Amino acid sequence: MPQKRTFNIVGISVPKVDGVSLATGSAQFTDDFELRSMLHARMLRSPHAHARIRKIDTSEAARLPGVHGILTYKNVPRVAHTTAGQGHPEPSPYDTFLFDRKVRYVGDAVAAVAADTLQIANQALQLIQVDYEILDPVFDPHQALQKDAPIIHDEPDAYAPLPVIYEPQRNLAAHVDMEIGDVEAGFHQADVLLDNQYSTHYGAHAALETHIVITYLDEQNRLVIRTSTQVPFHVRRIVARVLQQPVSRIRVVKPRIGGAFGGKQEIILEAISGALTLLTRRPVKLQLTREEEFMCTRTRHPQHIRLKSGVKKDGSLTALDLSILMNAGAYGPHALTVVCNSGSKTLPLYRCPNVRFEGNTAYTNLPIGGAYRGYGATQAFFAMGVQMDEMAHAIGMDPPTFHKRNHIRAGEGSPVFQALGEGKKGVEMKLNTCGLDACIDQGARAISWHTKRRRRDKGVRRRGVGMVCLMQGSAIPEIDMAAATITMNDDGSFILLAGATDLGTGSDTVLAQIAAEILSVTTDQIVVHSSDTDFTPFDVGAYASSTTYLSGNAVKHAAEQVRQQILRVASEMLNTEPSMLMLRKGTVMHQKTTTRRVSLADVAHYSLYQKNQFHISATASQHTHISPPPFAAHFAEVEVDTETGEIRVLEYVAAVDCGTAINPALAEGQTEGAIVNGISFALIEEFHFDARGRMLNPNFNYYSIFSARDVPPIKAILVPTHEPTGPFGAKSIAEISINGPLPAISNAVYHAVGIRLRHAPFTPQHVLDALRNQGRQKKL
Amino acid sequence: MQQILPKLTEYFRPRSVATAITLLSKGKGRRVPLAGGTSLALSTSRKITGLLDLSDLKLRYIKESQRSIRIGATAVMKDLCKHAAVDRVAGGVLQQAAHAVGATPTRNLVTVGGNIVQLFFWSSLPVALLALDATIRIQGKSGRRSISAAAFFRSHPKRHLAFHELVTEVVVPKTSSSCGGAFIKFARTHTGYAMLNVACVLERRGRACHNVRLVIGAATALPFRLRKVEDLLENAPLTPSLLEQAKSMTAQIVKPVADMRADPEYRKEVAGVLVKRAIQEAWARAAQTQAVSGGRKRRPTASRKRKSSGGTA
Repeated sequence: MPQKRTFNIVGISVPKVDGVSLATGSAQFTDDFELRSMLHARMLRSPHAHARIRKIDTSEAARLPGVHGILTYKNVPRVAHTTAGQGHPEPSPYDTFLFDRKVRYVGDAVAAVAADTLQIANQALQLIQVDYEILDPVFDPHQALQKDAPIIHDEPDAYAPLPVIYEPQRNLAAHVDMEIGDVEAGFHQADVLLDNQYSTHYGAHAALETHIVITYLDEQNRLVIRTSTQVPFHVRRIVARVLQQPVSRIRVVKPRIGGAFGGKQEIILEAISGALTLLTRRPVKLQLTREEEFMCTRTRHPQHIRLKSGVKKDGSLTALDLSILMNAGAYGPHALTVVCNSGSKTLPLYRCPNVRFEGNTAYTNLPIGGAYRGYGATQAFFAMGVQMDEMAHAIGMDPPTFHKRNHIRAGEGSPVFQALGEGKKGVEMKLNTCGLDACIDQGARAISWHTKRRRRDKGVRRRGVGMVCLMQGSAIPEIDMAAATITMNDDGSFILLAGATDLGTGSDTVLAQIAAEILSVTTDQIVVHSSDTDFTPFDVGAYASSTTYLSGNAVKHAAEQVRQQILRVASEMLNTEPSMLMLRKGTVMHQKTTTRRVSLADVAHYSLYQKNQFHISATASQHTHISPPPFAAHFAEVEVDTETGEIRVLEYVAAVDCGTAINPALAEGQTEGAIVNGISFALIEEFHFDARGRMLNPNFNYYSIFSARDVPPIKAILVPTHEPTGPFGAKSIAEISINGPLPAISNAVYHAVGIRLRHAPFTPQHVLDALRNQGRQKKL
Repeated sequence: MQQILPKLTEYFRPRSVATAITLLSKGKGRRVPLAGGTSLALSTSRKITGLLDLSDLKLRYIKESQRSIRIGATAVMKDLCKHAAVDRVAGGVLQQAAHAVGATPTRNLVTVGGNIVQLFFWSSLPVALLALDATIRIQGKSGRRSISAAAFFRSHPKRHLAFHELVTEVVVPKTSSSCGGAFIKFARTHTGYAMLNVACVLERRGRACHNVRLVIGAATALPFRLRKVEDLLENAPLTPSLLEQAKSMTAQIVKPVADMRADPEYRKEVAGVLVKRAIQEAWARAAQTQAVSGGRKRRPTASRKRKSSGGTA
């Protein structure tokens, strides 16, 4: 049961600290910034999926009036790197160059032009002559791993900076495997064996703000990078390396971000724009068009999944064997860690003595996979969630009962935690909290599971309910770190400098609440700045569901130190021991005689102007040994139109254990957003390619996503637990709920019409075909 | 990424249709009317040098007379959506079609005239106008003319309209209370481009349908009437087997052009299903309007997800 705690600001849905500025349009995004004599950059992109550049001639383009700089592989440093904004050294292969002699997918970077206007830049692109030697492409990850497949990364200087398996000579971008117990023996003990294949598709982040960067030189000729990023400190490090500049010569500023979802954990434009600024000595703006955003940024990696499992009639699992072939696309950012996560975030959810996992990531000549909310767990939970339903069905057990019987509990660990890390071994971890039973019960009640589950529709439109259980993590243990600085102003208010990056998630608000709670003030007394590599302390950035858990703890520790300093100053002023004092609503008072008190403003004034002066301020850092998982039970009710194959989600319930919700409205918002994102991905989102690997629908006209009118009623239930290692008991919430819709909808469709959807997306045509096949099989 | 209307140098805002036509005539095809602007805003045409803003022509109106509803060319979709008289036409088929256009911001911009002249394959309004046997009024330098929707949509309007001609008005005949109608948009999302549009207008007399008009849009470049299916239904009792016949006949007739989102075979089949549903829905609405005198009963807002009321005889 959750422990009852009382807080002043934590646990309350205070308005977002940036809410008014966002709503009134005064918020400053990257593009809301004009610089004198700023140049506009555009990129020339490959029309071929796989080709070598025989010759590239930019002379005519360079002569066009208004063109100030052109970059190709000829005039940039050749530095093998990864665009993945991860800790250092990165677990992703160094297989990318700013520009290369070879292009590996339709849309690959060939050249960049900076000109006085976008029009001139566009004109210049047309004047660049490129002579391509066209190579055979490979689009299927299975084929890519065959012996005679074209080799995509045949350059000798690609390598993996960590000791991981990386074999580009056979298009293998990453490999991971592990076995716990004896899986074959486990299968022998089983009463029922299941062995099925599943697949997931490409997906776009579809952030409203496309990737954008503005670079310029400051008065000391340092390179300033104003960019829409999740990872300002990784941007600084990677750009420094790629452009061969000292880190001290680069400053990265993160303004407000117009959506990221993992897509901006990637250093795609910053080094190019930076190189143009260094070349021209002028400010440069580089923003991608929507078409480029779809084709040339990052996507959700498609996966082919085989899951084999054994279960006894009493519902206990005897073996799980998960093997995944993941399509990296043309480059390998996150090629290893996403597939690792497919195992490490799904397999520990269930108690099972025998577990095997193998993940392989293959290069193909298609768009590049990368970080995307859910990060591999989304793909693998589709297979796991559906197969758990298949198992429950096979032994005749109600899914909620089946899940409850098998899921991991507080106090328990999983050998998988230890076996699978990110580019290295994982860490041993025992769960402090798991509210999954309560999530299952409350979710089932909210959707009227037991009533709806008994219903069997016969008409043209048939309804069904399905469920799934989920987990994720909170930060990457033994890798991620975060720091925060809090300083006190002379009126008793505070400045919070956070390296953590608010992408619209509301983390600035959550961090302000954490500081405000410790300092006994309201959030309007906390001025939050995030993030600027010159002024805010280091933070790995917003990914791996880490900000509340990790950066939140850094803020909490900094606030606690500031609080100690305040009490010390007040004790001097009130002539008493600090231990006799307490902080209440902007006042320091004596615990016994509360009339002996000083305001925070008095304390600040005293410390800055009166006696024994010093600046009340503290910086604290946080890293973590564990990654406490949030848990969730999702329930979907669907209606299947058996004549058209359309699936309509009628209702969606998500009960989530995120520990303490620091700001419940924001936690619900994260949950609802993830579910809408997930339903849209499950039902309608699709990349279409032509035979030569060109994406046919790089626009919202033909790559549809849900809008407000398409969203079904969603109920988010927050089930509190208290994670002792998190700030005020908090765990993460950002990613977990995107994993639910694929399996929950598939399971609900099975209940409605008896077909198992194992291949996503569930487009009407796909569903109608499945219904037809089912009809045919019945006749046989 | 190309520049929008790179050769644009002239902008006019005429105050009368006559002036507008004179200006268009002088433009020799290089000046185009600007109505809602939703397609021009994306145009990279190098041919267009001038824009004629139609907003001062006082063509944004919906007027009701005894026999018809006259809709001015610059009335926008939102106007159609909220107009009571429009809602009463054939069970609200016109209102449903207007509502199927994009999202609220687009419905506030897209004009009736602009929409039917541009005639995108996914357009919904032309489908409903064909089913309603509307008349299109056109004015040009040689005077005024009126043509049927059937003639207007027989080929792409941009092909048969002269450069100096302007659509000024659409006239929709009023329908009796025994007349029902339905419009169904089939798309991935509410605001998405249609993969199929179906409109049905019919009169219910006893157990049989009369004057059935069935139109399919978004399957091919131009919307078209399903004459054979209409003939099948004419004066026949609406039985489940007749509906099934209408469904399979539609699937045989419709030859959808390629669409990356679904195979032609699939869309053929769904076209049959939608036609069946549109007939059922139109029939049910005709019954409803018959039951309530004056046909003033308001219906809930249309949507593609609307459940058929199952009015099979």
